[in-house]
Amino acid sequence: MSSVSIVDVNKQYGGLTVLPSLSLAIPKGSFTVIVGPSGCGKSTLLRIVAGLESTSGGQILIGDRDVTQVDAAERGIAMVFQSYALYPHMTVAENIGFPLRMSRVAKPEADRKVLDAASILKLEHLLDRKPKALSGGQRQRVAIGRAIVREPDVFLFDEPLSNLDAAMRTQMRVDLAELHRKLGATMIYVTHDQVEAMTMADQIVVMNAGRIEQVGSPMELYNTPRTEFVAGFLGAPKMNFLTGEFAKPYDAETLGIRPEHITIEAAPAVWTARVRHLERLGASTVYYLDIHDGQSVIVTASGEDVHEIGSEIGLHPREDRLHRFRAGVRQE
Amino acid sequence: MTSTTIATANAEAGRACLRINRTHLAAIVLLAPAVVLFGVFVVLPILQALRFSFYDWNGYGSPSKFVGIENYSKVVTQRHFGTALRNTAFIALVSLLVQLPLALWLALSLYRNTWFTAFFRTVFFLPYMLAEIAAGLMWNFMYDGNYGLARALSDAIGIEPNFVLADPAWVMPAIAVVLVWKYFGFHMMIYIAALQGIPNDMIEAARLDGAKPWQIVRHIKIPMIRSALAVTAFFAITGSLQLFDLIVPLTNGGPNNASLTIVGFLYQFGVTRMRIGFGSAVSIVLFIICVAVSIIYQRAARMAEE
Amino acid sequence: MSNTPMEERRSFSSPGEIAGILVVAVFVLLPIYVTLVGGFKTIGELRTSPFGLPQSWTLSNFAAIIGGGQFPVMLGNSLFVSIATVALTVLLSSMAAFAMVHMKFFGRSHLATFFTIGLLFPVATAILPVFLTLRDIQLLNSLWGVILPQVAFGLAFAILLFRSFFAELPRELIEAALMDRCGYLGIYWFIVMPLSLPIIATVGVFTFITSWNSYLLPLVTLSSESQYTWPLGMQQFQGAYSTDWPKLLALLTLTLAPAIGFFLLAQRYIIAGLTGGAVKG
Repeated sequence: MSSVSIVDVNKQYGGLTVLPSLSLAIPKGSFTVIVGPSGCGKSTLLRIVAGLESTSGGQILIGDRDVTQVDAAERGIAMVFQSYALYPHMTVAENIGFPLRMSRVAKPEADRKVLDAASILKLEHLLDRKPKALSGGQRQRVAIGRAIVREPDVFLFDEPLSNLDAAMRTQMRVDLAELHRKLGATMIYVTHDQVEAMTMADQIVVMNAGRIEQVGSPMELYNTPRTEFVAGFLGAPKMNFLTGEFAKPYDAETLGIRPEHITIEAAPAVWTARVRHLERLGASTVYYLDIHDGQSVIVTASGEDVHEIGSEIGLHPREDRLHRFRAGVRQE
Repeated sequence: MTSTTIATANAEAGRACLRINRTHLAAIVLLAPAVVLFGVFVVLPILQALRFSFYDWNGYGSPSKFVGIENYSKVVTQRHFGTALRNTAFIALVSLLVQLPLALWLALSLYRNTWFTAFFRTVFFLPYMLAEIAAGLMWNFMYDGNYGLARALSDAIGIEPNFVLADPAWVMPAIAVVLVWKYFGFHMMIYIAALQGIPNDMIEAARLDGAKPWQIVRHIKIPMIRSALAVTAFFAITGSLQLFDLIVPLTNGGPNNASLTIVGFLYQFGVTRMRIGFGSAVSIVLFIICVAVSIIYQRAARMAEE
Repeated sequence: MSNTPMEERRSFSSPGEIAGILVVAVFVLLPIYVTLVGGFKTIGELRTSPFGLPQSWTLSNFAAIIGGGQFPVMLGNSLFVSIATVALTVLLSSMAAFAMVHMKFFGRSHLATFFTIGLLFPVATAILPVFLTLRDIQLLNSLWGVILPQVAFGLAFAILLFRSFFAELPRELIEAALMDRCGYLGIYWFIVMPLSLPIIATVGVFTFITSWNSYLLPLVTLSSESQYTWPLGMQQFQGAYSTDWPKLLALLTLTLAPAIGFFLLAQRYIIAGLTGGAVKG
């Protein structure tokens, strides 16, 4: 296991700048999730770390070793691809064993390692199948198996769960987090899904338009987002952003408050609102509310007290949970 | 820290050098055989032909007698070269005006997949598979006034058997029949592949809009396979330009050079007599015609796409 | 391609159309039929009834050809030339196409243009310089003197077919193999080739037929009978037995029967090759 350092890396395609200069430290043994909307450059960054793309400038260090000019194969990195990239003509065992075969590991030792990986991933009974005969989740596990047999210093994941159905995705999130604890290796995981980021990461890196917006632990980013972008990107339902007469009393251009930090109470109401729509989730209810000035807020409340559509209610934001933004940046 | 960084940086630089070499080496290993072979037997010969065409040379020693464009003027003034050009043009016209319409009609009848269509498609494609040299010999028999089809026909209508392959007036039409026989199935297969690519929804929508079958052919099917039509026209013309193998067992260019094609002319007057300069001039003329046809085709294909 | 039964019925409603198809079928099959039965007839019978079935199936013509010694040698030469041409063409064109599609190097796009030259003109155009080159490297009258130029002229089309196939292979597969410490030569051999069997079959079958049927190049290159491929041998037979049609037809049958058999087996790949090439060409 190794740390990964990205130092002043930038990337241009022709005249187009995909990544302006960017630096990032990924601690040894961490599970770092790089998250952002599609086209933000997160996959390019991952591919640069993998060695599949060259940099236009800057350095990549794995541990203390500068690998900027080193071949992908020689970086001690394994990668799990979005499409899994299993070799269709090889069985599960051959797929998992392929990197060992390429590294000229002796056959008995390779077989043992393949079996170990298969047992970690509960694939023992599928070893003789071809990828075509596997479900999406099983293919995903084979791809992971192919990565772990090499005992790499660093694992890379490129949106590995996006081709799975919702139930399988939840299951795999748990499995991946457990795998990380078991192996203790450094993992870098790219996704556009903030739920995956929040649930699995030790460290989240939020990217937007080729730049890093903020780096930190999930709760750090959730509770003290540095920018409006990060505040809006993490959390569901999204943070409410209010302007004008709502923001002014708090000395902010934009006032941010999460749906679960507004309480519904008759008095002393700070804002009054009308219920436009509501979604009952059982444990909680999500209210879509109209307030003055054409603005609206979303409030998550306990599932027990139900206000009907059209009714007038009073709202009370929690003062200690307000986020004040000026020019998109959070003010302390 | 800094000194070790520099040391590792140097080591890495060395390795990077190695890496570039290895990837480049792989590219060279993969590409070199094809590039060398192609260069030696395709590209270089064309350049050499261009050079030789300006010399009077019998192929021994090195070409020393530079004659400028004399070979070219000899080629164009040679009586039989005119025959060869005319014959090639005739074959190209028959291909375009008889063979392609026949192929299109059959493709429209046979493009759907049933056992009936599959059987006839196979039958019609069969001649394309047979070697030109064998097909020509077969038809030589068919045309033999003492034995084959020609005799059966002339017996039936009660006239003296006619040896069409020995008759300068009839030899080219007779060859054209063999050509159509041999190649229409090839063009038909290209049309069939294109017709099968038309979404069925589109044809059904047209039928629901009240289009008659011939209107569907005219307004949907034919416009939808325009690029296949362009490709077959291209193949028909380049095929005519290369025609040689088929004619050898039929007439070998005779009677009296009446059925020479461009390649036949090249073989007869350039290769067999080892007149390298003269033959090369013919090659270059043929090459220029081929390139011109390709360029016209590329233009036409691009227009068909738009 | 799933047509409604109604559509099927509609497509063959016209008896005129079926009649036309049958007429063309007779036109196509008649020479082949006459050839196949002709070899069993005597010359007198051939003269009186060229289209009927033979009265007695005489095998002497076939026996004479097979026993003549020359025929098996010619077939052997042709087989050697065709197999070597197929093997080399498939290997060299797939290697080059793989590098051109999946590796980045300077001048990659120019290389594609370079090979398209080969699609522009027929072998005949270059035949004299090829002859001289073969003479200089002492490959005249050798089967390799036929094989190498044939491979060279087949490369352009084969590379075209391989390139369009390789471009469809998922790029992640190549990248995964790179991450798995597989070099480019390894990727070519262990990943790309095993996944390319359909296109290998297409290119192989197509190259085989072209080579098996080719005439001009062997004609110019080969001079001694022991080296002749079958089309040359057939030409020689035609010269020697110009009036002995039963013997010539028997010879034709002997060369056509394997070709037809091969065609019926490999039809699928042949058609894939010509339509695939036509779309790109």
